[in-house]
Order: sequence, then structure tokens, then C-alpha cells
Amino acid sequence: MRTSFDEDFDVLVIGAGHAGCEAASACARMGCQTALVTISLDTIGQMSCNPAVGGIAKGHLVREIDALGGIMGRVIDRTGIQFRLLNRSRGPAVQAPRAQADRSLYRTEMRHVLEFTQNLHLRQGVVTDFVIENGHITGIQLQDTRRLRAKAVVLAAGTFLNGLIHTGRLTHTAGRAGEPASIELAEALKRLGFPVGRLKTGTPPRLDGRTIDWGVFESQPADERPVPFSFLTESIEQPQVDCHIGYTNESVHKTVRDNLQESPLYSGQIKGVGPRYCPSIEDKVVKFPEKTRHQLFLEPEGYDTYEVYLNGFSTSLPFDLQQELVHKIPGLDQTRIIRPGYAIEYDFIDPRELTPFLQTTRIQGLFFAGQINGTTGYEEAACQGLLAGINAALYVQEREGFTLRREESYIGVLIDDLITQGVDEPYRMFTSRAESRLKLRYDTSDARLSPYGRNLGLLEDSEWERFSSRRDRIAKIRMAFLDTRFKRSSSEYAELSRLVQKDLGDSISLATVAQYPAINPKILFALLPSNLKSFVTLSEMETTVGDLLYHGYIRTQHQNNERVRNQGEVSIPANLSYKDISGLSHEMVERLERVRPQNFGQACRIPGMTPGALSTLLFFLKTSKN
Amino acid sequence: MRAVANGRLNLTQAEAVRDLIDAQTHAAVRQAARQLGGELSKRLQPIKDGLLEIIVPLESSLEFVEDDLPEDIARDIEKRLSTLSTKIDEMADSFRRGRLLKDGLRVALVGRPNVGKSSLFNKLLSSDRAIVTEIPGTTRDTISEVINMEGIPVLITDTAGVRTSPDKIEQLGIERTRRAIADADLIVVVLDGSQPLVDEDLEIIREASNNHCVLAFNKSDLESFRSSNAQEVADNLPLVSVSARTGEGLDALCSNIIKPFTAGYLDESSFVITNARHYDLLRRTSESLQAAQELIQENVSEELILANLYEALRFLGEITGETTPEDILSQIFSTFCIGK
Repeated sequence: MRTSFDEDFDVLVIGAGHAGCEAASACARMGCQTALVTISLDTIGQMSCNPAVGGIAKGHLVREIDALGGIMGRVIDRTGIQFRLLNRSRGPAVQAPRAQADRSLYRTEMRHVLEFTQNLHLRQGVVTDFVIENGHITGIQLQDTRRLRAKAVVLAAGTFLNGLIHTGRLTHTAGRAGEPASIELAEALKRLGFPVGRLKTGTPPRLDGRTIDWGVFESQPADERPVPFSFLTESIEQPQVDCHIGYTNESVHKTVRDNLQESPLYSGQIKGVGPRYCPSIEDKVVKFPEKTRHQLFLEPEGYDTYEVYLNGFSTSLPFDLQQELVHKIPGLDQTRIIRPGYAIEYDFIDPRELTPFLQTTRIQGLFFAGQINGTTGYEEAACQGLLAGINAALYVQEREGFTLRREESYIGVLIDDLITQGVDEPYRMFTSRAESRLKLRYDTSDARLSPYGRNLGLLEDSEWERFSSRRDRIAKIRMAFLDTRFKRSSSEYAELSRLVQKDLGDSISLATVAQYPAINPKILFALLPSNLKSFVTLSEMETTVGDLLYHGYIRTQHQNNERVRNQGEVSIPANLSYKDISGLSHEMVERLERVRPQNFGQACRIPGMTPGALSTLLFFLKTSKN
Repeated sequence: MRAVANGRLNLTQAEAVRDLIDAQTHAAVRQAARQLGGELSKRLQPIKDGLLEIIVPLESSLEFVEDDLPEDIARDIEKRLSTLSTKIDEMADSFRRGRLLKDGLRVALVGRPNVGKSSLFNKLLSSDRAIVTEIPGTTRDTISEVINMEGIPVLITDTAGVRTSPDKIEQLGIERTRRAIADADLIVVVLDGSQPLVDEDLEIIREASNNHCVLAFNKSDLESFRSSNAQEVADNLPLVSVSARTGEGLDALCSNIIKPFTAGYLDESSFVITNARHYDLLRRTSESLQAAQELIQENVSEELILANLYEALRFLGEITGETTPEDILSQIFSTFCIGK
């Protein structure tokens, strides 16, 4: 075997999906000579599943990526074809942007962004092994015999590790439809002793839009005022298109039920665990037999294609059955499938292997990001890619690692959940996973995270200036809100009192008025001092109102978090013999011994720990102290 | 949902162990034993489940806005919340009884000199009721002992040791009674049943009747004893004939002492909160639920209502064990068909 290297880099990123792209971009912009190695340069930034970015919690993640200086938000803003702000009628903490993407444009734009990034080098090749010296990674081996050297490697292999596609009883190895799986790399990871598990995900069939009876479906237009993902985006320029909503019916369900034995999910052929929140149509029909219809979204794949993504109809049934089922859906009775849906099983590595910097504990300099860590979703992958990339660069530069806390970001919640709890099913972000949901708004991710991005060198001067001026304007609005008061005698008071249907006391400030649900930002804007009106944007108004609205709750929440943390910090002696704690079952003892938590907070986050076991432990820790 | 698993103690149970160690009487032991059996957690479970049944649809409507959820997903929430907080309040209210079992009753023996207070006190102690050694009196003039009365620890205080000069008897007798009333949960007014009542007796009875009190007509062993002569002064106060000398009537006295505190709820099956921390958590839970109700009335967005409901859940969780986001997500996914 050769020992010399063909090329020399600081960081190698394996895989050019959503995690890999962010990782490579961040490393390169932090000054590292970075190679992005992928099986196919034509599928950089490929959306393997639905052509969309964002949604509740996922949109929050993209906003956080953007605030740190990541690229996903910028790319989707230039290639999104239907933007919607979800939960617009609710409070700002649970609103989030979502956009349909032109799948092909997104890919092209992502590749363009990477190609125009300094220090970033694209390389096509199949990685088959790692080069390791004394527990440190020093490079990678490619199938074509090339060897690339680097001080750090980020592995973002997606669903490619031992990927196995199922359509009915047919299976074949693949990373995703039409692309080869990474078999040798998966074996290399096993050889190194990484604990490998198996997960499953699936996609629905893609349809020929020319054969769809569009009139049957309810159309869902884009927002009139599209809210971009990136703080750098002034406005969305692309023409916006509609999605369409339809439903399955009993006839579809009956056919699914009658043919369950054909589904690899129900025949026992698939061993991997799929996500509960992304069920296949088989799962939906079996688990919710009382539902007479299931909602479907017909999502356009792009401007220049008639391909349509049948969201909500993920399936691994055989192709002929898929076609039969599609024909039973009203409006799709003539519709042809272009690409069949399928289920894919793939290897993932137990993320409890990782440090908070996403570095493996087994091999120094090796970082994991994305689906390999048991997550699902482009956004979940991208944010890990960004953090892994940042930390790989910091590692190479021998600087201190970078982490985010749960209370300041969804990214922090995600990584903490992964590395302390591991995963039992593909992990997706939900706002309810965050203890500080009211604080982690999509429109405050810049205030929360951009200073970090700037310190890391991921936000350029012009971008930082933009951040600072938004921050300053919001501060000015806030001051104006607090300072502007209306007396009972004023005409404004009368109008406001009428709107909120309440007596507002002798006088009332704009800051207080702003918190009434009946008062929208447009009304507030009209009441602002005229010197502010000239430069304040609606989005900045909304952010200020959100800050005021949640202020009291966040304070309470902070106190609660402190309370939990007080318990969480109860330390656990390193040599504690769990089996000697009476009342702990064998299973709980095992879990505790595997993780060996340093404090009670970590013990709480071990999956499968029962509340009873935790209380027993806490009571033991507290009483044994005295 | 999460039941208390076999063979494991939760925090509530662990606290019950401590109560058990501290328990002074059998009834308190039984109560502690009941909590050790996870009964508090068991009783709170339906309340917690009810709360989750409100949280789950609310959370789903926020988190899965694009899914095809039932339209009436959040109906009756306000009413259901008020039912839950009423139930929690009822449990919290049992704390007064619970404290009685744990901390016991304070009972004072009062009465003018020579009616037999000390004899009665000593007789109570000499029976098998006294279970704890002497503890120092609250003042130098009084002696207190803990006595077991039907399972309840009763701190009984004899005020007989007070020495008064003859010309001040009347005034100080009243003074003493007043002081005893301030400290005690119940006053036993000891009277000499062998003699007609005097003005000082009536004055003491009048003062004592502002509190829980029992009239003990002593010296029932004497021939001149006339318990009926009490009816004219206090027709609605409980009265008992006792003999400090023979012990006659002591059982009746004891049951009259604890009666006002146990009426209707000291049967073996009833359940009470005995731990101040539990009481506090239940009160907080109830407050959070009420705050959520107010927000619903003000028509604010669900995430704020949920913030209060999660707070309530967290307080309950400190008694019964934590509900994790994963638990809630699991319930969402099993309740609604979520996902594209």
C-alpha cells in the first residue's frame, strides 16, 4: 500500500450534501485549505427528498445557520419558488419560514457558491478508507487509488453508508436513487469500532405534472410578502408558484391494506427504524384506520420541469401498486409516475460517540455531521455541517472548540440531544424540544448568534454592518415604544382603547399597547414618531413587538431553567456504584454505567431513563451528601 | 403513561420514607406507608394525563400547522383546565389534615386551680398513650408531653404549674387561658364537677369557646358530681365526664379532643398531603393552570398558553416524575397522524 499522498489539505469534507456543503464552506472561509470530496460533483446540494427548506423548527435552524454565516439560507432565498411564513396568525416564537425550492436551481446555486469560495476545492471520488496514525486522522483513501492528506476530516455521508433501497420485495444497494452506496467506507467505520445502527427513511413517487387534473386540487399560493431565510436578502426576486393540496380516500386505503404483505415495512424486510413524524402511506393507513383521508401536497419540482413531488405519500410498495394507488387519488386518475417512491435503509453511528464539537472520541481530527449522526432533514444536516466545519477549522488552527448552548439556539438543543441521548429513530427538530422556545425566535437568530459568526470569521464586514444597523434600529424602536405614551384625552388613546376593548388606564405606552393581540405592527407603525418612520422596516417592528411580548415569560422561563439547572448540576461521583443504589433496575443501572454522567442533568438526558429511576438517583445523590 | 415502575422509588416515595422515619404514631405511619406505595403519584396521574390531553392538541396545532389536524382540536380547553385546577386545589387543601397527622395537635389544659388539671394530665400520661419522653415546656411554667390519641400525636400542655398570689387568681386565670388559646389547636377546660360552677369557670369557658374546646367535668368518681350543671353555661360545647383518679371517661375525652380535626376524613382510606414541598408544588401547579385560563380568555397565541401549561406540568413532574419533550412528542404521534 502506498504511503505517499497525492494532495495535501487542511480539512477534507466527505459528502457534498447539505451538511458537507456547510462544513466545506465554513472551513474554507475560516482560512483552511479545504477539499470537498463527493461521489458525484453533479449532485452537490442535492435535495434527496422533498424540494423544500424550512418549516416550523427547521426554518428556525436555517435562520440560525444564516446568522452564524452559513450558506443554506442564502441559497434557498435565490432558488425558492414558493415562500410562506408558517403560523403567521400566531406569536413570533412559533412562526417560521418555509420555501419550496427549484431542485435543480438549488443544486446549481449551491455549487456556484462553493466554486466561488476561496480555499475551497471540489474533488470527485469515492472514499473507501481513512488514513490513521496514532489515533489521529491524517487523510483518506479513494477508490481510484488517490490519497488525500488532511489534518481533519468531516464525514457527512448522508444515507450512503451501506444504503439499501427497498421497492416492494426488490432491494438494491444505493446511496439514494440512481447513485451508488458507500460500502467500503461503512466497513471501514465498523473496523474502527464505531457503534453502527440502522435507520430508515422514505420518499414518495414523483409525478408527471402534465397528467394531473389540477382543477381537482386546492391551490396554496405563496405569501404576498415572502419572508426570506437570510438576513442578507433584501427581497425575494423569483416568481412565486402555487402548491396544491389533495387527499387520499378509502379506496386508496383499502388497496394499501390489502397489499401490506408487499410492503417491506410490514413484511419484516426492513429492519431499520423510520421516523414517526414522516410515516409512509402504509403506516398512516395501518396506524390511523379511523381516518378516511390523508392530506397530500403536490409540490412543483421547479420552473423548467413538469415533475411533481407527491408529498405525504411516501411508500415502499412495489412500483405497479404505487401506480395503481396514484390512479385512485381523485385528480390523479390519469397520472403517470416518473420516479417511484422507495424506502432506504442506511448505517448511522451512535452520536453519543461524539464530543460537543462533533468530533469522534475514537479518532482525533475526525468529525461527523448530518444523517450519519442519526438525524433527518436538510436543515438538521446543514447545521451540524456548519458546526462540524467550524470545529474542524478550529481544530486545525489549534483554537478552542465552538459550541452553542440549549438556551441560545436550536442548534445547541440538537447537538446536545444527539450527543447525550443518542437516537432511537431519525432525529428531527421540533420547537417543543427547546426549553427556551419563546426565546429562540426565527427573527432573533441574528441577535443571538451573529456575534459568534463574526468572531469566527464567517461574517464579512458588510454583513456585520448590516447586522449592526438592524440591531441599532430595533433598539431605537424599542426606546420609542417605551417613551411614546398616550394620555386618556388623546385621540390615539380612544382608538387604541376601542381596538383592545379595554380601559387602558390614565395613559398607556406604545410598548404596552404592542402586546395586545388586537394591535398589529401596521397600527403601531402609524403611531411611531415620524423621524423613525423613514427608516424602520416592518420586520424590525415585528421583532421589537416580539421582544416585548415575551419579555415577562422569558424572565420566568429563565428562573425555571435555573431551577432545573440547579438540580442538573448535582454532581455524580465518578466511581458511583449504580448497582448498589436500591430501587434502580438492572436496565437503568446499565444505561447509567454506559454513559457515566458527571451530573444529574446529564443523567436526565440519557434516553430511556424512567422518571422513577431519575428520582431515585437524585434522592440518593442528595441524601448521601448529608 | 408513566406508571410508577415496580421496585423503584420515585422522589415522592423517597420522601415518604423520610416521613416514615419521622412518623410518631401509627396513623402517621400508615399515611407515610401509603405515600410510599406511590399513592400520591397515582392520584396525580389522572390530573397529569388530563393536562397532557390539553397540551398535546395545542402543541400539535402549533408544531404541525401544515398537517390535516381535526378542527375542534382545542375545544373546551378552558373548562377542562378549570376542572383540573379544582382537583389540584382539593388535593392541596388536604395538606391541613396531612400536617395534623405529621406534626400533631397542640392541646392545652386550662382551668382554675384545684379542679384537677395536673391529676388529669398525669393520668393521661400514665396510660399507654404517652409514647415520647418529656420535652421541655414552652414556658418554665408549663409542662408538655406528646400523647398518642387515636393515632394522632397530641402535644398536651398542662398550665397547672403557674403560681399565683391569691388576690390575683381570677385575673391570672383568664390571662393564662388567653395565652393557651393563642398557642393551642384545642383547649380542654377542666372543671370541678363536684361543685357548682363559679364565675371564673364561666369566664374561662367563654374565652376558650373562641377556639376549639372541650369541657372536662372532673371528679366523676365523687358522689357530689353533677355533670348536668354544665348545660346551663354551654349548651353547644362538647362536654365529657372524667375522673382523673379512676381514669373513667378518658377515652371519651380523647375522642372529643381529636374529633373537630378528624371529622369525616380520618378513616383509613382517605388520602392527605403531608409534605410541605408537595403542597407548594400543587399550589404552583394550580396557579399556572389559572394563568393559562386567563390567557385563553384574552385570546393570546397558543405558545404563551403552553408556556404556562408546561410550567404546571413541570411542577407536577417534581412530584410524579418528569415528562420529557420526547414523551409529549410520542403522545402527539400516537394521537394524530402527523407528517408528510
